[in-house]
Amino acid sequence: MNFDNIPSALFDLISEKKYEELSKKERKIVHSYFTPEEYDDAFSSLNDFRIENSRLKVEKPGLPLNQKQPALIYRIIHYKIPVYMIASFVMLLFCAYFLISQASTKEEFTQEKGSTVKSNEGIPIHQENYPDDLVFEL
Amino acid sequence: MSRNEMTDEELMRQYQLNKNTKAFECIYDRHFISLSKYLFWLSGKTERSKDLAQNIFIKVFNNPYLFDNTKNFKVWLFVIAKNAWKNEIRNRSRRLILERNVTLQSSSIQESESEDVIQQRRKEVNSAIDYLSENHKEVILLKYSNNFTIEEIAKILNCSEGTVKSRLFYAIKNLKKYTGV
Repeated sequence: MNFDNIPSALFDLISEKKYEELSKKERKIVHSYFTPEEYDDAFSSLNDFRIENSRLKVEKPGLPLNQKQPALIYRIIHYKIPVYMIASFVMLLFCAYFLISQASTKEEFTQEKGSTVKSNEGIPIHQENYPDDLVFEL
Repeated sequence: MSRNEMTDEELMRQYQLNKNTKAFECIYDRHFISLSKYLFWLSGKTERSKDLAQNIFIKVFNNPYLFDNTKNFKVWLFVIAKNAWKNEIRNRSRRLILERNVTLQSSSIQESESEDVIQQRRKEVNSAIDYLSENHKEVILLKYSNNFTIEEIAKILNCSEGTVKSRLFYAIKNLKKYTGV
């Protein structure tokens, strides 16, 4: 018997309805696995179990809330970061990097209308630092 | 939204993030009895099952971050209970059926049925549950005491749905055999 094919509903029916209470469709499901007598016996057993289970009396003790609370470091380690947060953080980093690099480029160069791009900072070449090849002794 | 309307997972989230003990108490109120009953049917002793259930809740209380909020809390809780019970039976021998009967008698409540009939039925059910194998007992308890779906039971027992159905099928047949219906 392939148990994967047993409909899950069969296990609900068998604890909820007697055989005589089943519809035609439900009886068709049941007949593949149980005879009417077997079904009613199983229903009766499960019903007895349920009655006994509901009769069990369990007193609920108070919850001891003075137990140690989880440490902060433990909470941090076990904190689960959602994927969307990671994705938005990466996007934010990318945008920040892009904006900063744009801003630094603007600071370095200015362009007047109709002129070539000039650097704000001149090239610091002083007389004493001129390359030898460019120095002509007259 | 009041706490009673919140799902277990939402309550656990509140407890994980804000240490909201009221949220945890709500979870405790919802599940303590069913967890204790599950452990009672497995262990056969009311007091021991209560202790086990309380220990499980204390563990969860102290380590709430072990729970993954995308999962079903009740399923997770019963996985812990199943493992706790397996550890318990590893550490000691099984209790006598007699102990269970004594315990049950002490916790009985008055019903309209005569006491003799109640006692007789109780004995039959207890014997039937006791005679089932551990695997069959587990599926019967999870399905008919705690109303888990086949899919949830498969997750708790870490097996396929086909296996759960097979165990349930034979457990029901055996239950009938031992209750002597």
